[in-house]
Amino acid sequence: MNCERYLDLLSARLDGALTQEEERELMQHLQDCDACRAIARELEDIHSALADATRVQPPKELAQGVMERIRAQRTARRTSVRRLGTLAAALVLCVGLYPLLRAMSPVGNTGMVMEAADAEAPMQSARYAEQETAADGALLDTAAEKGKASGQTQNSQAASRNTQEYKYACATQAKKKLRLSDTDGFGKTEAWVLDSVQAMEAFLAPLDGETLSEVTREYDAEFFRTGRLLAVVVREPSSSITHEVTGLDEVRVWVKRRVPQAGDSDIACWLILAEGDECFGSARALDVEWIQE
Amino acid sequence: MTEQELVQRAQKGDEDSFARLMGENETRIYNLTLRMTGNEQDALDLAQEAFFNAWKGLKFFKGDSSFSTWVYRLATNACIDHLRRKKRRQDISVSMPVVDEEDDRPPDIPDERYAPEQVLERKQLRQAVTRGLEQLSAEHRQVLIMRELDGLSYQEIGQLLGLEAGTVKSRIARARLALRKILVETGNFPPGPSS
Repeated sequence: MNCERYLDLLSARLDGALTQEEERELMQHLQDCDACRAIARELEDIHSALADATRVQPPKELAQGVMERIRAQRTARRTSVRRLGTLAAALVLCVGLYPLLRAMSPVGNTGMVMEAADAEAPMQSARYAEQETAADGALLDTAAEKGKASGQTQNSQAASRNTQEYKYACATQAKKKLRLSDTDGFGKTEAWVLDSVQAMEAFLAPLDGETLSEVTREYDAEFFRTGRLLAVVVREPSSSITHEVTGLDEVRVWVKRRVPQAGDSDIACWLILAEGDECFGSARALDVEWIQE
Repeated sequence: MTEQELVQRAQKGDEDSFARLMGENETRIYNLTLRMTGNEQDALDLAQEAFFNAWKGLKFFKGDSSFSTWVYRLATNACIDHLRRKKRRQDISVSMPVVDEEDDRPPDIPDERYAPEQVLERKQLRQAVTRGLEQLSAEHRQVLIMRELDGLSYQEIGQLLGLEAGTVKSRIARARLALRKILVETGNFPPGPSS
């Protein structure tokens, strides 16, 4: 006797999800089938045992811990700038959380935007370090200056209107550069900020198991408490072309690209991972801006 | 103040309003993470993570669902992530979690111990079911907790997980049968005639 159907009905009955017809059918079967009758009893027992389960009071540390983290995050943003990495062109500024969704809808000044931070000299010759700082630390918005003709311009303009919101440009040090077999599920060139294990795993889903494990092993919930990953996928006609991630802001990442005089002509696909902290902001896609050397 | 009002204030940065939202949801969320992970430390960490993510993501919260549904979803996602990572990290493939030192219950109990009419004490069964729940796959555990412990409907579960109600229905059936199988294997139910 194929009882599988009736097992499903038994489960549905526990949830009161049987039609009259199904109920009749099930009752009929139970009269004839010892096995299903026994299982029905057991499922009932499990059901009532679960229903009996008492609710536990959460420990005080739950709420306390969360509030502490919220306050710590705000304090951290108010303190002065940190310099990341060792690359030149390290004009490092700390910004308020200005996360942009993929849809890039303009976000107004919310309560989470943090206060002014100090800008650090020296300025060197990176392209984006054309920003200038006035005496009181207010910044000019280079994105607006460059007049990017995309939806982001609107946001940049909104940003420059409010002197409390700054761009976060940083020098990052790539931690990993993995060669991929092909772009697989990745777009030709992609860049993302990843702010959680979930985001990371979702982004890395096209990778094969081994490569995926290699990456995810290092970056766990502990890392993402205050850390962020910048992930860039590039596809080049030669594996001899090298890359260096030099900075990012809300909408784009800058990648330096060195094409040697001579090199191999094999198609190479790379996944570059750079580590950063909460200042990178929330998970989002970034445009890639190439800096040719 | 309604949940909506609290959310609006919290979105503007009002920490006290957020603290109140937490107060209203922490029991449900903590019980969810506790049932999903089976241990208090992980449950605490994941519940905190869910609320902290809720705080960070507040500006994106559009109010399509209620705040409590949203944070519930964040929590259950965090639990699944955690369990998957834990599973991946394990070098040995285990189908049963590490057993407490005090628990010296043998995994197999011979048939003769059980008379067909014997019924386990309610408390014993409850404990066995809780232990059994922890041995289920993350996905099975998740739907059973949502259905049995939090009383969510197939529809509501479907919305939380992005599944059709019909899929939820059969997943719950599979989960119940898997749990039953565990209880049989651990000697809590007599094996009886197999179907």
